[in-house]
Amino acid sequence: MKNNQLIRNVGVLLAVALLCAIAGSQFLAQQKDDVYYTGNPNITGVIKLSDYNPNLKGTVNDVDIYVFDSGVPGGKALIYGGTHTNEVASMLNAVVYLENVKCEAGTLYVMVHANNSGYSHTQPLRGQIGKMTFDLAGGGVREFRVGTRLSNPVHQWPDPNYHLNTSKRELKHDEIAEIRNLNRNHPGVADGYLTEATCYAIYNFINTENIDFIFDGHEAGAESTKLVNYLVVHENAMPLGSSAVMNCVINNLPLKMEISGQTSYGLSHRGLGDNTKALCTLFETCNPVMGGYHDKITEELFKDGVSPNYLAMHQAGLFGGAYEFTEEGWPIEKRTAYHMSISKEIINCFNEMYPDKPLKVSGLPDANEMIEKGLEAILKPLG
Amino acid sequence: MITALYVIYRIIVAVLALVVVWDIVREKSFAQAVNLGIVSIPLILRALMIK
Repeated sequence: MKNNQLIRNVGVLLAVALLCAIAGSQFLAQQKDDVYYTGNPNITGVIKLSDYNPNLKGTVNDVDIYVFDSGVPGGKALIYGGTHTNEVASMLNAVVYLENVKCEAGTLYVMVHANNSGYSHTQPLRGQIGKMTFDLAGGGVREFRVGTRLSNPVHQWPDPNYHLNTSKRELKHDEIAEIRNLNRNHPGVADGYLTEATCYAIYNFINTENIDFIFDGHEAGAESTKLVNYLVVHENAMPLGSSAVMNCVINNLPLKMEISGQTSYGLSHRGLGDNTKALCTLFETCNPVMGGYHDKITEELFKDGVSPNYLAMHQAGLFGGAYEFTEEGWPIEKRTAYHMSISKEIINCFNEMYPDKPLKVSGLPDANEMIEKGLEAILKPLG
Repeated sequence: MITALYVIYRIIVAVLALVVVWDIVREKSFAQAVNLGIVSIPLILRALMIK
């Protein structure tokens, strides 16, 4: 081998090393956990998912569950977001609860990042930003990672060729990556894949703590006319869900209710609804970043939700006016306010319907104020 | 079993990455060397479990 050839090839290797270092540092930065504001004096304890499945100990999905125990015996609820980590309003709703809520009767549990692994990467070839930044009204900045709907292959790899999971969902061919989807593997397996083990921890947590109802926050693509602004409930939770939706409609929130499909195997409302005593609910708002016709995925699209593509499709009547889509789009504060309003209404309705299990919360911000002033005025500064 | 597969696949990727890097060193064509360089990046990042 000629010397100049060797030098040239070593140059290629150095370029490879440089590119690996640049790309790698960005990928590693995405794996650093978000910092939450945990100065809410009403937090009475912090438990971990590994308390309910020791197999999660030391893994990225051993996340915190914040406990708001009123000291007054009563109902128990779990509000969580971050099942699908690009569905940001669900996570921000959990953050708003974490930072503001006070439990006055019963016990409330809040989990912000249900699938923390999903926050550590974005979908390849999607060209999606990896974080959202809020410049707070009172000074300071809050950053939240944005991930993708599946766990990171760095944490769960390889995907099997075929998998029949505990939910009866058969995963094969192009659906096999769903083995990394938290909302396809409920109720999970204690010693299964990371995502399954996380599902099992949630299942075991619900059973161990006798959780009365759960609220699983999600978002859907703008063409998902049968999901956007829908509360999906297990049949056991129909009275609770319909009361909450009715109260929201009375308050001019255009929400609807859908019953969990019998074959929605592995989704929280089916997988946990069938296998636990908890009343299982799942709520979806419109996220213009998702769906097949999204505009360029910038931070503005995540935050402002202004989508010329979807606006044109709505104006062309392609979605039958299933829900409102205007030039203002679906800003993140509106989507978060919807999540907060329906989850708060479910708590209120539960409190009325089950007087022997009182569950009262206070301290949540006003939804109209949140929409008007933005999350910049609601989120608390760190440190 | 799941952990064993994780380790086995990681070893396979690491070996592949080393083979590709060695091929870059030996390659006579510059275009091919660059091509191999592009192939090696995801292999290295996965072997290190960064991406």
